[in-house]
Amino acid sequence: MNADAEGPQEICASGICCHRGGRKVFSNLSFSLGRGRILEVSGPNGSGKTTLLRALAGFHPVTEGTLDVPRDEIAYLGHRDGLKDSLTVEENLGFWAAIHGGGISGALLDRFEFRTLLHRRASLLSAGQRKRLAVVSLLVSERSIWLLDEPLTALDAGWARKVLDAVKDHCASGGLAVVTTLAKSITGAASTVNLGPMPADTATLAVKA
Amino acid sequence: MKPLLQREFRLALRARGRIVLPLTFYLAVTVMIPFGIGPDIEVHRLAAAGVLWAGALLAFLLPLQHLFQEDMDDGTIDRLAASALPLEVFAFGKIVSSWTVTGIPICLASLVVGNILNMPPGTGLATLLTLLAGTPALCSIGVLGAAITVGMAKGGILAAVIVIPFCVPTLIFGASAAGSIAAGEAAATSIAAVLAISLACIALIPFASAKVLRINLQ
Repeated sequence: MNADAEGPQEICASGICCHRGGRKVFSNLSFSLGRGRILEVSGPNGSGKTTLLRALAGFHPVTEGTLDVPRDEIAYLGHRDGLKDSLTVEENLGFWAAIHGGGISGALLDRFEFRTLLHRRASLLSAGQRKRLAVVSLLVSERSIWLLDEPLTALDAGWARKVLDAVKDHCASGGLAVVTTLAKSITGAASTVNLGPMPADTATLAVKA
Repeated sequence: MKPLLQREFRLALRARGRIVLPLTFYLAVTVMIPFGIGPDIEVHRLAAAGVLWAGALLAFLLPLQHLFQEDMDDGTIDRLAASALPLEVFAFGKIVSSWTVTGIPICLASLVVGNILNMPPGTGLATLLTLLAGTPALCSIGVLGAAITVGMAKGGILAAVIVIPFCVPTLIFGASAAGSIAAGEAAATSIAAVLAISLACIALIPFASAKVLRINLQ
């Protein structure tokens, strides 16, 4: 666990503890994060990465400690992506753009190669395409704090890199991201929270950022 | 609000069962009852308003299972809860969209069924008006029931059990208003009561539903 000391901190957690189903998931966790930073949350299955992310999003109560997050700045993208199977790519994107007050730019569609897929139903997309669509539906938002739960699952190495680049671009332009990951250091982020020891061979799964 | 409704209507049109199923169920229930109570036309005429109202209540229970469950399962509610859109607006949108998709077809179908039950056309129209005034309440109460049971296995059935008792006042006032009109009596009080219940439900239930959805997110 290390924290950034520079600049004003947007997210501040001190000594937080979360319970889920009566079980303590993690405790005494402290970190802070300023703009332009990526916080990487790593740990094995069941170590509480998603619970931490949901606590940051305000879905899950913190049972001890204090957690400060500007809730009107966040956009959350979990494993369940909020895309409707029976709607087309364009309709799904249009919905999230409208909800988040953003717009769909042609450049964005080109970057993620969705221009030719606009009228395809989400149910017909491959798992990787669907994940890309979920990420793009976050990119159309004008929110500055992104909470991403394993954004690279189902993506091949090339697309994983592009998604990571998008996250880094977002942070470079004054945004902030909290990313959970099974792999070690996918983003090369300076700030990390480790919720548990990783299995020894995890590093080989990591995508080089 | 607009993108929410647009999305709900699109989804309803893509999966047409959402419109057709409650409507078919409504027609089946209301048309079968006369077969059960015998061929006396006078009895049909007397029972018609009550049959139309009770049928509407039952038909509104059908969509409850899917009302929030799909949005919960696919993560829509997670993302909306973190977005700028208040869940209260989301719940209000659900009331509006489910009433449009389920309620309006049922209200209109009541004209046809009223005719089958030998209602005079004037009475049929009056019953339609009471249904239009009262079904928003049934719909709102259903939305709250669906919000409470979202995430539970067989939540739809539980939602129905929770919802039915709270729909009884609307049913009593609505059917009695329609019955009074049919008998040529004054019905203003009953209609006012039905409208009052509907307006109160529309105003208050989005807040209750949003609160319950937030609890269910944990």
